[in-house]
Amino acid sequence: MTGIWYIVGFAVAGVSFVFLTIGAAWLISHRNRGDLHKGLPYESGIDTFGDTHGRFGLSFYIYALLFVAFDIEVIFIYLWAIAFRSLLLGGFVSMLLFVGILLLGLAYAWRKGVLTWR
Amino acid sequence: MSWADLATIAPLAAAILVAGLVILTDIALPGRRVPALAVSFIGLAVVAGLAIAVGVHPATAFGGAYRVDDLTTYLDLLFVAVIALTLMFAPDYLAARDLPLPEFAAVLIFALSGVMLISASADLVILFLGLELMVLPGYLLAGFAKRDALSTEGAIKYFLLGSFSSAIFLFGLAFVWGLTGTTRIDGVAAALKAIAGGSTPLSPGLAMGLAFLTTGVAFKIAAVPFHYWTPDAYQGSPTPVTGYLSVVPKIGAFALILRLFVGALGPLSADWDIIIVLLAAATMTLGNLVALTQDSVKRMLAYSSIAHTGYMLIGLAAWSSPNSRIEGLEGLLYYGAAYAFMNLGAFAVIAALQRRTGISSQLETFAGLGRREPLLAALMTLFLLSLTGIPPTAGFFAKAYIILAAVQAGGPAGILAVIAVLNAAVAAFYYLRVVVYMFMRDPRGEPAPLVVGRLMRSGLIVTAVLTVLLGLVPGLLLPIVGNAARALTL
Repeated sequence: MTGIWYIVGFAVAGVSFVFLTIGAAWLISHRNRGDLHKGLPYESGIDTFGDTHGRFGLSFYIYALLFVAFDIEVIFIYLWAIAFRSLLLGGFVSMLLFVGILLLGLAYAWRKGVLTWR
Repeated sequence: MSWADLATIAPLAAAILVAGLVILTDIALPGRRVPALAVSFIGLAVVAGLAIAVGVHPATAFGGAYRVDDLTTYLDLLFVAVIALTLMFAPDYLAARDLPLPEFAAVLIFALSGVMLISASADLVILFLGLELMVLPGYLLAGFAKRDALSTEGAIKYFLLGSFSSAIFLFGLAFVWGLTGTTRIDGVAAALKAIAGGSTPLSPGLAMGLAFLTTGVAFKIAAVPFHYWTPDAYQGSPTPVTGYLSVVPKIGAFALILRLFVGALGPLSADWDIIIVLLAAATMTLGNLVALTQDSVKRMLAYSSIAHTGYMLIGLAAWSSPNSRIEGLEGLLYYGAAYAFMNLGAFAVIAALQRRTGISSQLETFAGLGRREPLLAALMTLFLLSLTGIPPTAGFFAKAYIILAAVQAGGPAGILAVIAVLNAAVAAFYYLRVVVYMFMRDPRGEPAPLVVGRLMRSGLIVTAVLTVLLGLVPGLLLPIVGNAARALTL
């Protein structure tokens, strides 16, 4: 098992990278913690007013989630479309099944009222 | 993909179709519980029938990636039974908390398809696919009580650690594939046989791949020291979900271990058996010791399920010794079935007690149960006696068989037998403490009378009957388990 040293070296490099980075940051700034004003968000030099926490509607998240799922579906459909000629009927039926399952998911989401914007 | 392929995967395809049908039922008749439940039960019966029909002839499909043998059929039927029982225990609990039942049933049946895929895989990538399909519904179910902070906390812990462990598992799998050149389980075994024979040296990359695979899998079965997610996930989840989580993902992960360690990594067993012995010893001991200190019965049962994982690992350790190959596997598979029913039964009793919201799973809930609800108390006593391993219950025979296999194995596995017996004695304390509370303590205050629904009652009786039957007449299951074990070692 002479190759073990490569793995040991790799592990040491990985771990030390983390410690070196955090250690360097600590070395540079551990004495100056800053005061209250250093931590405030930037608002062109004036004092902040109002609540700086942004809020977003949940509907954005739900649409993003649905988008990710259907976008990955599109990737697979694209690959299938390229190889369509050689996949013949079997490939067509498989893809029909795949899209069908995802359509079931869409129908479920639609019925549960997830697609109405709030 | 040919018609023969489709015929071979019929049980799996049926499971997925049934889950889809349950969703369709929910779309067509929203808010109604009985149609979805009816579709689920009929669908599960169809899946079981197909599993038996296909299992008569061992076959492979999809170019050797999917295989049906006796192990597949045994595991499929066990899982269908467990999922059906979970569906019998869930409705009352979910209705009281206004949680949707059709979605619960659909997600559960998707999880069933995942474990069926694991038990039928002959390729490492299909194994991983089945693993993910099994655990993702589990994450969802753990957080099913969306407005309950405890449920969400448990689900997040389960999800994060589960995802990490899947990634670690995949990393190890990539190493094994890269260094053996194939993902087929038979192919990997053949390549490793060459290494074990001494003609090729064991490369450090392969050793690392093995280490990562073991780690990833150990997370899934909640072996010590990878068990930290278990108590919080089990305590936070809704009780029927805890019953499901303590059985199906665990036995599914053991199916994964069987396919991977016995099937693919079998030739290297001299290298990994000491690790399994250490894991088993640590898991049993820690699980039992920490369970002693728990107040909440759900948390106590969570730690006890960790301990039972340790007992099951003894079976795997026994396999690696040539004296007890088949006995070790038989012990593991039999223990899986016995554990499934007794653990599910125990959690079902707690779910029955929690039919009204606001009832905690602390020991106080069980005080005086013997007088208030004699049937539930008797059933709980039966399940706890089985978990302890007292004859004539299933737990006794399962423990006896696995300890016999360990003794037959000799060597380090033989020491495991001693540790197992000591741990069983320690475990008796916290199991029987609940029995003491039920029959020898008076309840605090005046608890309202409980109505146990018909479905829950029949489910509990079926589970109790199975627990006693597997203990009195082990000969019913032993030949099936023996065939399954032999199919694996072919």
